[in-house]
Amino acid sequence: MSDTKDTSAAVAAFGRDVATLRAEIGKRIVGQGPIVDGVLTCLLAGGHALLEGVPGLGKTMLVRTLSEALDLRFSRVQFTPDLMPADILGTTVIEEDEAGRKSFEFRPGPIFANIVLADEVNRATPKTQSALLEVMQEHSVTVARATHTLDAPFFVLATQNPLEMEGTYPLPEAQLDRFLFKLHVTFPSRDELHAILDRTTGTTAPRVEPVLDKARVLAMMRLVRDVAVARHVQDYAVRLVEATHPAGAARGDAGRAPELVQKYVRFGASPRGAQAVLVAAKIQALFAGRFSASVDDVRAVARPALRHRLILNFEGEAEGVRTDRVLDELLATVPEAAPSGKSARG
Amino acid sequence: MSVPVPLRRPVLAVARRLRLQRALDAAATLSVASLGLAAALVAAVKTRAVGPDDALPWLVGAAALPALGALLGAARRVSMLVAAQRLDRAHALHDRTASALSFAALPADARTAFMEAAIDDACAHAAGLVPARAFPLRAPRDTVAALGLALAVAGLALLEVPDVIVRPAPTQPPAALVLHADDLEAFRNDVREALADPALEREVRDAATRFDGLVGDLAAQRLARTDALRALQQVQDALEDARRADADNLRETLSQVATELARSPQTEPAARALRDADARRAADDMQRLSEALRQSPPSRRELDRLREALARAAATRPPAPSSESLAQRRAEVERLLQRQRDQQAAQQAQPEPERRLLERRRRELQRLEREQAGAQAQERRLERLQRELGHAGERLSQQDREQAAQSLARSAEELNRMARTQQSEQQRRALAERLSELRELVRRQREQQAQADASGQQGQQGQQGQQGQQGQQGQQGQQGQQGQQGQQGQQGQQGQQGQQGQQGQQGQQGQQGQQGASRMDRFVAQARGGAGAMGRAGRPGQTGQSGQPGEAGSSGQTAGHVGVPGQGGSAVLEMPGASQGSAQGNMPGGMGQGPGAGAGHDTTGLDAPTRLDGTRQATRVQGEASERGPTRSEVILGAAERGFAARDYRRVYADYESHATEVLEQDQIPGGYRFYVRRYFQLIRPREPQP
Repeated sequence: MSDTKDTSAAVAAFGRDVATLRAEIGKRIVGQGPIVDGVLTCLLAGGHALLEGVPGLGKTMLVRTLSEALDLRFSRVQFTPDLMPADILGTTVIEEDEAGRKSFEFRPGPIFANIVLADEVNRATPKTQSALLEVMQEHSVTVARATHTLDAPFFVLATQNPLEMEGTYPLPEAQLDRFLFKLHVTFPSRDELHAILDRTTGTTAPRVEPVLDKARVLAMMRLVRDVAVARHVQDYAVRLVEATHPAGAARGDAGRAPELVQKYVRFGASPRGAQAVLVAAKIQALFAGRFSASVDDVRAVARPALRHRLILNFEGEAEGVRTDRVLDELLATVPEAAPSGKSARG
Repeated sequence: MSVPVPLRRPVLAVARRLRLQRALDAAATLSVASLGLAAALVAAVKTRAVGPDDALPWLVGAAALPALGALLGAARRVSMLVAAQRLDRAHALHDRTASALSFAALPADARTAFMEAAIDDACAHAAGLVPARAFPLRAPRDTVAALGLALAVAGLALLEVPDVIVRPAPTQPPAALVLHADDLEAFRNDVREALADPALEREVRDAATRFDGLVGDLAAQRLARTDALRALQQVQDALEDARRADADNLRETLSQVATELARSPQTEPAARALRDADARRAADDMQRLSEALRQSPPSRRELDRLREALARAAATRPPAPSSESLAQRRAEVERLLQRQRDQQAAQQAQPEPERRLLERRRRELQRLEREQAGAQAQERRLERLQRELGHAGERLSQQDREQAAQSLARSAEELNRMARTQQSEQQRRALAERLSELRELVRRQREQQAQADASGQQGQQGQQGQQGQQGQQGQQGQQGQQGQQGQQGQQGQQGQQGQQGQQGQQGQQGQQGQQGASRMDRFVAQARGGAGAMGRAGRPGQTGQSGQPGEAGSSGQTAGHVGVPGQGGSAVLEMPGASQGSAQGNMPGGMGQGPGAGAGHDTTGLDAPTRLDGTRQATRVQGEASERGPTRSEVILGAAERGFAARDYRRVYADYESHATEVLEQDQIPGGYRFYVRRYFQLIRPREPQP
């Protein structure tokens, strides 16, 4: 019983902290609730987020505000074509002490922070992108045979502009898979735009105070992992991911994928995608103050968690099919109950 | 699955609702099938296709189907998880209940704190759960269809179906069979000739009388083709029934008797007559021999030879008595008939083929009985003949010529009786032959009509061809008129002109849709000598006016010929001088009405018009009378020396006809060609002059 109370208290505290954090971010960021929740989900899940949107929508501002509200070390890297891996990771330099002895010393790069903003990540060369993405996966940097572990939490927010594609290096599918969510930053509504103008064109700028420290963030991240998931919810997530594969390639189960997937999708989501869905669903449950994830939570996070993991075929690319459309189709067709349950339901 | 107590009530309630709904759905769905079956059964009963007793078990089964479906639907397992999910969805609980059920199913030590908290959380929300909201009962899916079918079944049950009265579809009476009057006249003459024979046996006379009536009906066009063929079959059956089964046997026996009688010069004429199967002549010869014996005694040697011949003739025995074989056959048929009757008695409903077979055997038995009686009478007659011959031989050996003459006279009487039988059989055969010819004529007439119909369908596509056909038929029709005139005006060409009259009748038949000119028609036209006559029709066909009978005769005889088959498949008669009519007739011709001269025009047959503006000079030539040429009497005499027709046509016809018949009977000639030959002689037979 005491465990239940503790759990309830932890969940309640989690909810309160998230609400506080949202409120603090909301001082500077107008609207964009789903984007803020998505970024927080990625942070608490221990993943990374890829923000995609046209310039001027506040992507960078959002990340900066988040870092200020969390009292975490923040660094920003503007990706350019001439950016080298060492510019991100750091490099070894010769140091001379007072005695005149020289030695090699590692100077960490901007990646050594808790929150890293990789602005316009698709403008860097694949080599540099690979250096970043390796760090994102391993949470450590190896330079001159020395491995340097990054401080937790380590959270990368990458942005990219979908319009200016010339001179860019689109992220390979394997590297896109490293991001937990891909979030589309949309244009604010008219009211939100008014509010943005009111806040940013005056003499005073809103001030964001840190509301959560690193320890609290790490505790919240641990709590996320404790959230229970019933078998039927997990089964739904699995079937959803399976359905992204044309002709049931994932299980050799032909006929499972909807017609749209069979027609336009070349490869479906990886198991890492299923992990992302389930973890994000847990966070959604915590956001709602529940102790277990639901099918609705899975459905809510399916789009940002899977949209960058579906690889369209040539026909899909040629016809301009968006992966969100495929996912909408999947969410509409994949039944919530398992086939056995469906038959029992009559 | 263990369900936490607070959740049990709402979850189980939803599960019960799910079961109930499934039972209702299954019952409604099976009701549709059940009512469909019931509707079919009621309809079958109403239409008397199925008896009520037979339909009752099926109706009971149909009524039980919905209940069975409801039971099966209710008995199916319902997942508690599904019920919980329904509750969650209805109350926006985000899988709290379903997850709690899932966690509760785990062992207690396997549950985490979050799972316990989730169960508690679900139980805390259980108070507000309303099963009816989670799963509101609805009307079964197939309710409307079931109600509709139920109404249909009720309507069918109330419907009174009257007894079906099959009314035969109104059909037009078939067209009467139209045969050539000339042909029918020939048949009628033959039949009446046979009827005029007093020796005709009763059965043959009856058949001949029916044959005569049939020909009369055909002449009056009272019979359709089917009726005519049926009547022909009946007459043929009657003639077949009148057939003498022992005729061959009798002829064989008489031939053997003739061989023995030929040993004596006195009996040699009778023997020759018997060998020729002429019993009447044999009877006359025998009668003469009897009188000769009475009046002038022959020499001793002649008497010995006569006695020996008569004794040997009396000792002749038939190769196999017909009555015995007939008796055997009759016994066999009787046995079969009896067996079939027994089978019939065993079976209530006899199949149609069996019934027909029984009837056929019954008729065969009657015929065999008749034939057996006839054969026995014939055998008795033969025995009497041989006995009298033997008696005459014995009397001659005793020098009793008077008694021998009396025996020979009695044998002549027996031969006379045989002659009557023989004559009757010959008449029967002749009638049967005439009958088969008539049947062949009907058959060929049908083929001609079919060809004419086919060509008529093609001809309707070409207006020009149709006109040509009409023109041709108009020519034929006018030939008839010319023929009438020719008979009145010209004695020398009476026969040909008369045939033109027939041709005119044929033209009228053509108006009834039988204008197809086949090979047979061409043959008939040629056989009638009508080729020349038809040549004369060129003028009427061309101008639409009747030609002059006198001048047409000569031109037709020189230029007439048979035409070629038209493109439409029907043969047409091509006539010289009728360039427009015949040329257009070669087009695909249809069934024209043939009211008069052709109205068509074939431009391909025309040349450039005669130029009238050229320079010309009129020259008049006049013959001169002189002594150098032969006189008119010399011309006639010379022609007579080369061979005028000096013999009577009847004699010539009889000679040729008998020769042709003899050849037909002896040589291997295809049946179809035999028909042509017989038809030829039938058509050129001498006729009585028209009054």
